[in-house]
Amino acid sequence: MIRLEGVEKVYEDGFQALKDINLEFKEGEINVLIGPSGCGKTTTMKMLNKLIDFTNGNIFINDKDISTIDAIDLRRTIGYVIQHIGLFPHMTIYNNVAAVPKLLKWDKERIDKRVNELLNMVGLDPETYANRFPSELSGGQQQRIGVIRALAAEPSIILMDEPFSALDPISREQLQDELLRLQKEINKTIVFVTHDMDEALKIADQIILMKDGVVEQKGSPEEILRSPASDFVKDFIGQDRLQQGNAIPVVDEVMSKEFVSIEEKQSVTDAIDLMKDKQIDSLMVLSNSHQVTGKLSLYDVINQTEQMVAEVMKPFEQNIESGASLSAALHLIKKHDLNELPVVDQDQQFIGIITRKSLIHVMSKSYSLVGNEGK
Amino acid sequence: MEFIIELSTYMGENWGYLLELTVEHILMVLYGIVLAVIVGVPLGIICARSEKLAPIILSIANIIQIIPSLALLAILMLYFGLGFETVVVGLFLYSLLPIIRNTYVGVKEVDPHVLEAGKGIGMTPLQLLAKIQIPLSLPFMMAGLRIAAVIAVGVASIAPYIGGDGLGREIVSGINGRDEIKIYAGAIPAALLAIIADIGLGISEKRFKKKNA
Repeated sequence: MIRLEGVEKVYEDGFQALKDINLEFKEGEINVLIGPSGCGKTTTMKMLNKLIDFTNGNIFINDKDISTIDAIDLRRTIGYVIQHIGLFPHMTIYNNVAAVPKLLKWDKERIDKRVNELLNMVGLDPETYANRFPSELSGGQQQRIGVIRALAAEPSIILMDEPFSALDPISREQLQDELLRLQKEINKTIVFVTHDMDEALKIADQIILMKDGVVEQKGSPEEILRSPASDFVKDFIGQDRLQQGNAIPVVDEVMSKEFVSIEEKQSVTDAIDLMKDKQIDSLMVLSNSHQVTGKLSLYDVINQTEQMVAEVMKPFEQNIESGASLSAALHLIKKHDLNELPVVDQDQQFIGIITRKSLIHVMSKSYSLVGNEGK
Repeated sequence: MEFIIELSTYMGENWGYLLELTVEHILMVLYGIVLAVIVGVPLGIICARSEKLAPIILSIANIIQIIPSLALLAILMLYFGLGFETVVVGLFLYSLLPIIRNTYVGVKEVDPHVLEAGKGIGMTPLQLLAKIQIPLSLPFMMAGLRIAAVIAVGVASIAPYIGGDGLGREIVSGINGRDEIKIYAGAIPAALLAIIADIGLGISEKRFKKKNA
């Protein structure tokens, strides 16, 4: 984990490049620093491996103040991928990838094994590519080498400075996909600088939007799309993307608040009567404090007429917080194979429920709309 | 035609002596250039690293280069006396500028992104120099060496005036005796040496360039 506390950067000529930056980059997440040029995103990143020093504040990596770590040692434990690829043109691919392990004086066998493993990881056959020179590779291949060079010594942190911006759009897409695939395997803390909002939305776990040396907004891509903090953020995201963001409804719009319920302390016989009466096959179960705690279906009550509702109902194990996007809810529903998903507010109080029926209702509404537009 | 026969007969009869002169010629050039590399490459690197020292070092080397070769050797003779060593010192001074300047340009020309990558992965300044800056500036250094070698072969021809040997001896004695054959017998091997140095070092320069491309 990386933590920046009140970090400021003032240049000798008095220009303040960064003002009171407080950030946290969580373990195993892709953190994207984004903003217009001159906003301080690259400066912020380069302070992490001491390529640029800061004037005030503190930076901690895994709770260790980096001002107490030697710059050379620090850099050898942090992977670094630069915009212009920066492979060493006079060294073979093997030696490029092996650069940091060699600095760390690994033995040859270990280096061989690691280089082969990494080349295979990005789909470049070691036998074909290990002894080639960078100029014999395409731009996309070169940057793959740039990425695995950063991974070579198994750092827990990787800094990426606009790594894909010099590539053609197709290679860029491919490398973004590969990065996401790799990240599932390697699970590194990645700090990624870009000026491309699409790229940020695609790969980020956390987006940090900067302007004039200040953090304008930080949050998940969804949060930023859904509630931009200022006009600047709105402008930077762009109208098209904002609309796309709004096209995915929040769970509150989907959930239904109307359902038939029964209390825990009532008997199963009461429940059967209620189902008959309302012509339905399941009931929501309420606790004494009128919280929905589970579900009672017709299958649960067969031959259980002697029991109380509390004893035969199926309690809900998953829930989702109000304000979350529908995609998050769908993910949960799919993952746990749910029929219903309760929606709770910040205090874990029940406010509604997403059922398959309410989902179909929302989908039919939005898709029939699209259909009409088509005509 | 008659002249060519005469020349080849002369060279045939005196090949032992001419070979001796050629070897001496090569030795003077070699010593001068090796010294120039030992001193010039570090000076070139210092120039590349220090914006303050660069103009000073480069102007001094430039001034040395401007002094006519005969004058430079004559001045050196005043201090070092007649002989082989004086010629070597002269050739050393003459070779400095191309070597310093090309090393300086070579180190400066290294792609700043490659340097940033090296720094970013944790190379020390010395490792940056040894693993990146010097290997990448080798083609430039080779070009400097080539220029220096060609110049030195030429300048070494006037060595006899300050007590040196080499192919110049044959030329000078030819001038003194108004002997056309002797002049050619010295000049042709000297010219060949210059051409061989140019082509040979040119090939190795290209090889380095190709590797770095």
